[in-house]
Amino acid sequence: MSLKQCEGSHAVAAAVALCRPEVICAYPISPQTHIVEGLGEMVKAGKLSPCEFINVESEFAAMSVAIGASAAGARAYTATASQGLLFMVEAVYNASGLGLPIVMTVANRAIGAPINIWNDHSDSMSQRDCGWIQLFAENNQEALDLHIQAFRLGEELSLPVMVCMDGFILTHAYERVDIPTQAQVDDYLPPFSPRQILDPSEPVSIGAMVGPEAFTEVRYLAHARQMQALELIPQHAARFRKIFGRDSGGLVRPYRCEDAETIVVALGSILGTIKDTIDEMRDEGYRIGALGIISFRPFPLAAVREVLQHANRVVILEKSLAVGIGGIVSTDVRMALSGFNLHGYTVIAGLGGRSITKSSLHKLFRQAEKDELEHLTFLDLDHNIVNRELERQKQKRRSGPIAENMLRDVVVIAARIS
Amino acid sequence: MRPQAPLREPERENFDFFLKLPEFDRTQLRTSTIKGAMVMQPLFEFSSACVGCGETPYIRLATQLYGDRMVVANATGCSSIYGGNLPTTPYTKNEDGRGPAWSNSLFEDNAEFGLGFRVSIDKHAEQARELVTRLQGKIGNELASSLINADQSSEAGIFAQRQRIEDLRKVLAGIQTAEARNLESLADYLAKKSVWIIGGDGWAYDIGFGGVDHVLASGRNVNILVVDTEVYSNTGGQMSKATPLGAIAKFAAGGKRTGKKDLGLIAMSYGHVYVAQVAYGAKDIHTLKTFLEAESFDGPSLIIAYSPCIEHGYDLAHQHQQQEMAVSTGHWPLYRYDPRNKLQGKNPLTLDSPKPSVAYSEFIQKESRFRGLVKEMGADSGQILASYDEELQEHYAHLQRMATGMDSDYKKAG
Repeated sequence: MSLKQCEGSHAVAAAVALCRPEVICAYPISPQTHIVEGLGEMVKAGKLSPCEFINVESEFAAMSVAIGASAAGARAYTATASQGLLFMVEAVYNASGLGLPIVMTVANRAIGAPINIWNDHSDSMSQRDCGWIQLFAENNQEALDLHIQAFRLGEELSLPVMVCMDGFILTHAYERVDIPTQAQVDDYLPPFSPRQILDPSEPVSIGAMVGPEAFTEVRYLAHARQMQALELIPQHAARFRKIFGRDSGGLVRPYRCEDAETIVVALGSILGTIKDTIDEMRDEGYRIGALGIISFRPFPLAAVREVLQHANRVVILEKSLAVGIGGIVSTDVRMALSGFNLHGYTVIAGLGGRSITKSSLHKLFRQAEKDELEHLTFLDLDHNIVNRELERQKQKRRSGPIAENMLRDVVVIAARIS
Repeated sequence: MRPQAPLREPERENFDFFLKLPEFDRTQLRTSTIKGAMVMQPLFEFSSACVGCGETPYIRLATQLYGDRMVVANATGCSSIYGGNLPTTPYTKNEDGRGPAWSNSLFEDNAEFGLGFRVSIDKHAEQARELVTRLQGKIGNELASSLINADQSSEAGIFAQRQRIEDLRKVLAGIQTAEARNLESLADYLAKKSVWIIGGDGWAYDIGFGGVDHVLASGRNVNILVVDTEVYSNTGGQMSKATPLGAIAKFAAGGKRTGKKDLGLIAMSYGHVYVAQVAYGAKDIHTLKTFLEAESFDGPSLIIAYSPCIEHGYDLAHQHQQQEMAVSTGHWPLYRYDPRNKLQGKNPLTLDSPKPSVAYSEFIQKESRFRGLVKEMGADSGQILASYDEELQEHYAHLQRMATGMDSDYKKAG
C-alpha cells in the first residue's frame, strides 16, 4: 500500500489514469478543472498512452465528443460541474439513452443565478432523472475508488456513471490516499468490451428514432438496467474489497444505527461532520446514527428501508433545494418509508458553500430528538436578511436587485458584529 | 514605507476634493481626440481586476464615451467577476444619476442575451414613437415631430433629445389619459441607448461563438467587445481557440499546435458587420476611433481588443511595449472594416498597422507563456519560428490585398 498526500483532484486524476481511458475531453470550470489538468499533463508526458486528450469548446461539446468516442468503442472520461453540467444536459440524456458507459466526475457546485462557485449538490441532483448512475463520495479515498468501480459497473451494464464529489471540500482538499497499483486495477477492470460499436466491418445503426410502439419498452429497459445495478453495486464493492483491501462504494453505509432512535440521512463529505457530531451525542447517551447514501441513482429503496424502519425519526440533511417543495433526497427517502410511521424532517443545509458546523448540527439534532423541528428547515437561515428584503419589496416596486440588496445587508451586519 | 493610519486622514480629504472637481461639459468636448475623450468621466472605476489587467481600459473607455446610455451584457468570466463583485460594483453613475446598466446572464449565451436587450429597447422605442404620433394633437406638433425626427448622432443631439423628453413629461402630466400614462413610462426610450455585449475569448471564440455568429448575422445594432487575453483567464489559463501558436496553456501543455483563429476575418465575411482589431497600448487613437465608428454604425459591430493578462507571464508594467511588439510582429494587425465605406464606393477595409518588421521570436521571448515551447523545440526553434514569421507576413499580405482591392469593385455594392 502506498499512501500519498495529494489533492482530491489529483487523486481522481490518478484513478482515472489507472483505468486506462482512451479519450478524455473536458472544458474548464471550477472546481473540476484540476482533475482534467492533471490528466492533460499525464497525457502530454506520455504516461497515458494510447490516450487522446481532446480540447473542446464547451461542456456540450465535451459530452458530445465523449458520446462519439464511446460509440466508436473507446473508454471515455470527462468531468464538469454546475453550469457546465447544465449546459451539457441534452447530451447527458443522450449518453444514457444510447447506453454508452462514459464516466464523468461532477465536482458538485451550486447553480446560479446568483452565480456561486462553492459547493452544494444542486447540479447533479438536477440530473437525477437523466438515466446515469450517480455515486456520491464521502472522502477523497472513496472518490478515487468510486471512479475505478464506475468504469467496471458502467461497462458491465452499458450505462454511464457520474461520480459526484463535493467541489472544493474534496476536490481541493489534501488528504492521504492509497493509490492502487496498475496490476490491482487491471485485475479489477478488464479491457472495455462495448456491447455496441460503430464499426464498418460489422455495421450497425445507433440512435435511430423510436415511435410510440416501442418507446416505453426502451425506457423501461433503461430502468431495468438501473435495477440490475442495485444488485451489482454491492457485488462490485465486495470484489473491490478483495482486491484492494478496503471497503469502498456499495449502496448505503450505516453508522451506529443498530439501536438508533434518530437516524440522519446524508450524501457526500458532510457525513464526516455528521459522524463526529453523532459520536459526541452518543457519549451523552443519545441513541442517534447516520445513514450515508452512496448510490443515489439507482436509489436503494430496500436498503434504506432496512436501516431506517426501526428508528423513530429520520432527519434528511441535503445540500440541494427543490424550490416549491423542499427536499430532493427527502422525497426518495420518504418513498422508501411509505407505510412506516416515522417522523421525517427535511433539512436544507450548506447551499452555495455555507459551512455546516458541528455546533449547528448539535443544535439541529437535539431539536429533532425533541421532535421540535419543522418538517422543512433551512439550517442557519438568517431570517432578518430575508425579512428586510421582503420589507423593501413591499415598500417599493423597484426596490433594486435582490442579490445586491441582501449582500449589502450581510456586509452591514458583519461590520456591526466586528 | 510609513504607517498607513496617519496618512489616511489627509489622503481622504484629498480624495474628497478630487471627487468634487467638476466634470467637463460633454457636449463641448471633442471626443474624437484622445485628449477630449480622456477627460470624459469614466463610469467604470476601482474594479477588482488584477493589477495590470489589459481588459479594463477598454471597458473604461466605452463607459467614458457611452456610459450614460449604455446597457451591458457581460459573459461570465473575469469581466463579470470584477464587473459585478457585489455588493460593490465598478459601474457607477454620473451626477445626473445616469450610468451603465449591467447584467451577466451565463457564459455561453451572452451574445443572444445582449440581442434580447436590443430587441426589447427597439420595441419600446417603437411603441413610444407610436404614442407620440397618436398624442400629437395634445402634446403639440412641433414637440412631437422633433421628438420623432431627432438627430441623435452627437452628444449635443442626445442631450437635446433628453431635454425634449423632459418637456414631454411636463406636458404629459397635464393629460389624463391611459395613453399618456403609457407614454410616460416609455418616454426614456425616445433617447438613444447603446447596447454592448462584452466578454473574453473563451466566450467569443469557443463556447459562445455560435451565438456571436448569430447576432452578427442578425444585422441588429449591437456592439460586441471581445477582450481577448488569448487564454481562459478566469479559470486559470486554459487554451482557447484564441491562443496563439506555440503558447503554453493548461489543456495545451505542449504548446498550441495550430494558429490563432481569425475571428475578425470570419466576421468580415458577412460584409455587413463593422469589424476592428485594436491594441490600446499600441495605438490609443486607433482604439478610440474604432469605438466611435463601431458605436455610430447602425448594425452589428465587433471589436477584438488585445488584452494582456497575468497569464501571459511578464510584468504587466511593460504591457505597452508588448502590445506594440504584438502589432509590429504581425501577430496582432490593427484594422477597421467599415461597411459604410462601400456605400461611398470605397474599400471597406483599412489596414492601420505597418508590415511586420519584428521577428515573432523577439515578441515571445519576453512572455513566459511561450518560453517552455522554445525550450522544447530545442535546436529547431529558430527554424520553426522563422517559418511562423513567414506565416505572419503572409497573413498581413492577405489583409493588405483585401484592403487595397480596387475601390471600383465596391461601386456596384453602393
